[in-house]
Amino acid sequence: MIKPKFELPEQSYKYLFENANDAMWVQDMKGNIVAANKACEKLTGYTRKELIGTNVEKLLSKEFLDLAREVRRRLLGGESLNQPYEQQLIRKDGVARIMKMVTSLLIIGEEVKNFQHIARDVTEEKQLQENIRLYSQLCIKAQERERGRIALELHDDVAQPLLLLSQRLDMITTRPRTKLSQPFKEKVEELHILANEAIGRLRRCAQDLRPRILDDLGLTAALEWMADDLIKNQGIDARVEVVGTGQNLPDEVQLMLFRIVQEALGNARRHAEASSVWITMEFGDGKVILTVKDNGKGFELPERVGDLASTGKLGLAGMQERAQLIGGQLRLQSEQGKGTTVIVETPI
Amino acid sequence: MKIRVLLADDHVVLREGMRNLIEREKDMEIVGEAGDGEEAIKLGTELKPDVILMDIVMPKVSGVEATRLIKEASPSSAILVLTGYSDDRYILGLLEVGACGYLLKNARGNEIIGAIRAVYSGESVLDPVIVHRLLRRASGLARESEEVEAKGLLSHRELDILRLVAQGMNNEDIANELFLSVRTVKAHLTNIFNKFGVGCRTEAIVKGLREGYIILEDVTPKS
Repeated sequence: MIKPKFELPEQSYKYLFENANDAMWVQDMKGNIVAANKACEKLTGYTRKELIGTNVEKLLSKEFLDLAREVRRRLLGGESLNQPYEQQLIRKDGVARIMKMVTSLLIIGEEVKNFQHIARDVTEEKQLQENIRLYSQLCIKAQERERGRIALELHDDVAQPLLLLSQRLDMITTRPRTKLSQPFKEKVEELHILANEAIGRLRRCAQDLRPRILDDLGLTAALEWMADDLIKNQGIDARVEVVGTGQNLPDEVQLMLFRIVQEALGNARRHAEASSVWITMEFGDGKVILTVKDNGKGFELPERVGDLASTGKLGLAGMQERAQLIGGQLRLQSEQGKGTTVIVETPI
Repeated sequence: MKIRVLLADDHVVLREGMRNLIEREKDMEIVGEAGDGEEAIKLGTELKPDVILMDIVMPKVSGVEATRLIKEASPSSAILVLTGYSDDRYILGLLEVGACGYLLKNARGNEIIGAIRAVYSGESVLDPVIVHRLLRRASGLARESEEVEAKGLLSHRELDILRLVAQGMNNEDIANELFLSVRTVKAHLTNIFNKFGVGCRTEAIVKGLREGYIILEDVTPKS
């Protein structure tokens, strides 16, 4: 028999339990707490004396009691369980805290005797995350408002005097009954061309900020317009299909969906080097599903959509935020060499 | 009889320039001016002008919505949209709500005058590529359309002319093809427009296609 090199003495387990930074407690099969550590007192607001013998039901609201039962069922049934999981606990003072928890079975001999929990209070982190999310959504909204405003001002305000200039210069050379020398005519013509060039540049600028076609003709037309551009200017085969009756979506929904597709197509072109893209908009029962699929290089997805930003996929994270802004959900499918599919499902 | 023109643009000075330009022409008159979309709808419906020059970005109601509504009340008015953008898909969208053509907002005076005259006399004011794309889309919709077929509304001669129009021929070509005078071709076209209740050539082809007077093969230009 080979002896293990080192065996943890029971004493040290007790020490670890007692002094761990995370709250730990053990409960029997009926849910009564049989042991709890110092950190557990701090987390729950109850003293150890109060905790021992208390049923965990007292610490959980209805919804989260159901979650605890589900965890128990899975562990006892040998089913898989994603750990750590999130659980909510009601403190002695009635305040709810969010915990990240790991639960395991304590087996003595052949028999399951107890459940052991390790919990960390993540309420502040969650709050912070939520604040960041709200803030980034506010930024997106503000950015879109600003873009829209500038585009309209360029189009409506700044362009007007230039259009007038162009109109007047044209009139000088074409007005009947005015005799102009040829060199003078040519000079005016030159100015006319310059004025038109300025108008053209101004329009491109406004168009980049917010294409008129989206506001004037709606999302379907705008999607087909983007597809046209890919075909004509990028040599990418692009198709748009609309399934079901294209109801009028609210302006904000149209704008966010447009931006998501714009980003997805940009990725397909720049990063995935796709040669074909398919855009599908499907109107279903109280929802619209928009899919952008490409045949490009694909990439390895992070485990969770929430990890997109931290893994450098900022564009994708922006798509996610935009989807959430209109109450929708974003799903990504991608694999190295097998293309990428972006799916947004939005309630309407 | 003069071509009766309505101007709809919210910029007074630009509108004034446009009015001066049009009033120089002996065969044209301005019958009204609208400063926003609502006014455009009101005047378009009341005055039933021959041609409407319609800006898109206007207060109250957009030019797109105004075009749609005016075409319901006064289908024989030909609407030319004033726009900053001429991308195919954009123009296609404007045609689908009922415009007959477009003019860039910085178009030259003679282009504006030319387009008004052309659209009024039933000539095409569009690039054939766009027209063909419009018709392909319209024929896709034709099968779903519940509209009762109204065949028999056109005479044989009118039907012949509509087919040639659909192939992209201009009035002169059609006159040569059918051994008619250009005047006669124009008169036939006016009859077709009146029978169909449309304001221009493109609308006539779209309607002809939707209601089964012509099929998409008629439209495909013969090379």
